[in-house]
Amino acid sequence: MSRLLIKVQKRLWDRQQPAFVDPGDICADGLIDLNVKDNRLSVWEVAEDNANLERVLTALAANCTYTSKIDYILFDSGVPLKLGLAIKSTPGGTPDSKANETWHRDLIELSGKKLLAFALAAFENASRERCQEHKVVNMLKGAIERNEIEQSKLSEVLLAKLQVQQS
Amino acid sequence: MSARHAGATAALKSISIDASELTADTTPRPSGRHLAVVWRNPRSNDLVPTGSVGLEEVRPLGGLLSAPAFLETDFGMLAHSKLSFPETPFATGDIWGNRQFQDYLCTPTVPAADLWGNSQFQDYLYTNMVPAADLWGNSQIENAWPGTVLISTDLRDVYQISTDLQDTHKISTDLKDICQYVSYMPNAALPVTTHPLQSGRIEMQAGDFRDRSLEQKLRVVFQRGTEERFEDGMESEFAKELEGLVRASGPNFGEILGRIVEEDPVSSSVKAEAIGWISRTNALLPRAQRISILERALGSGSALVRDSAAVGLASMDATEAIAALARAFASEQNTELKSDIEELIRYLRGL
Repeated sequence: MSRLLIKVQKRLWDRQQPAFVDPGDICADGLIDLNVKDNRLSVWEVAEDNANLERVLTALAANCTYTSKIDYILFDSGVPLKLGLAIKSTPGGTPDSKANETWHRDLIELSGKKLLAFALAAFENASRERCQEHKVVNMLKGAIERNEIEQSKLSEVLLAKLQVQQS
Repeated sequence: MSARHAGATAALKSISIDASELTADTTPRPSGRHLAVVWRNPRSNDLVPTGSVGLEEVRPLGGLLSAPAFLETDFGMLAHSKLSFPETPFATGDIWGNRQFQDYLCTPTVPAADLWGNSQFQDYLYTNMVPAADLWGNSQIENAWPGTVLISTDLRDVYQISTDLQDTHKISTDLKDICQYVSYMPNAALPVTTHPLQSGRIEMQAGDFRDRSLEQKLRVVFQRGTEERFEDGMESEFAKELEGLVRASGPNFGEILGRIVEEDPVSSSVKAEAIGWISRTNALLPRAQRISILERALGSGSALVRDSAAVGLASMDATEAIAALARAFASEQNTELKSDIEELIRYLRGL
């Protein structure tokens, strides 16, 4: 089964939670990573064999203003379905049009309760991952060489950093 | 250069700045909210009049004012006296009304876009109507402004600006530098009073005041950062504010910034963002100082801050920090963070 990916701050999703957080609960700071807009939450579908994982991460990195690590959680795509959450294919907003069209999803019609339930379920089921900055840089360079991302959509700072590092 | 500017340059060659030109009156006014600044013309010994309601007009000061002045009035009005040249009349203008300027003084936010490249400012210098919001950090002030300027406000800050004068507008070898600002507390002696300006000296004997001001401004930026959501790889408004302030503040900010980052009351997420920003600011802080700040942050009580410090050191390819990272790894109690630090150490060791 495929999995869903959300970019987060890994430390806010550490299993080792502050002492005031009860088992089965999460610290409230983690919720800020669930950046809901219009009652929708952006997620990316990643194949079971991770075949498209690097491309999705690269697309997310290309959307940044400077190079950085990428923290993310991966959880079973059945998690939102079990909670009765609707998932809809929608175009992503990264400089990688293929990734945008192919793997971007929205969890839609989220209420507060649904979002919290989702956060708790994701926390329990997700693996916490990190792609370090030096890997991100290499992935971006490769994507540019393969014309997978539109350079014109990269931030000037990001592009300058990549060009500097290429020289 | 326009004829007007050329004429101005010629006239300015006769101008000098000495200790007698500036004095300031910090006597509390009934409103209790403002500072009156008095500009003295040494030739005529006239003072720019400031009344109980502030500066309403400025009489010609014997035809010459040896440097430009910004004066704040009780009306909240900022008057700018243009350089007075023999061929042009002295005048002042009401240039207040720009709310932004007030904000800038209250909060050290200086959007980078406002910092440089505003060609209007040079013109303003010669037309004596200077929107103060354009003043701050405009590089052209360094080129075009050969004197000393005081900006006083009711916001507890006094900004002194003198200039470098290193290019075609250079008219004096006595004046050395740049923009600097001096802050004072309401009950403290105003630096320009206790330590009048001396020709050729830039560092006023008011470093404590200036540092205090910078620290206050940094704290305001940190406080405002708590309102923001941070995301890896995305430039935050907090970081922009920090950079704008630091660029305008000179070299003293590193130590203060490091101290603030270490303090407990500061939000962990803001600290972490600041540390990430420090790791990227290779043009603003010496590498050794940046590494020192990040290494100290490895001992933070917040996993978020420790993580940011470790990531920042790796981002800087700081192999000299491997020992500090190894110590952080050894003492780390958060197993997930411990694993991440280990990966960073392996990266720095080239493994």
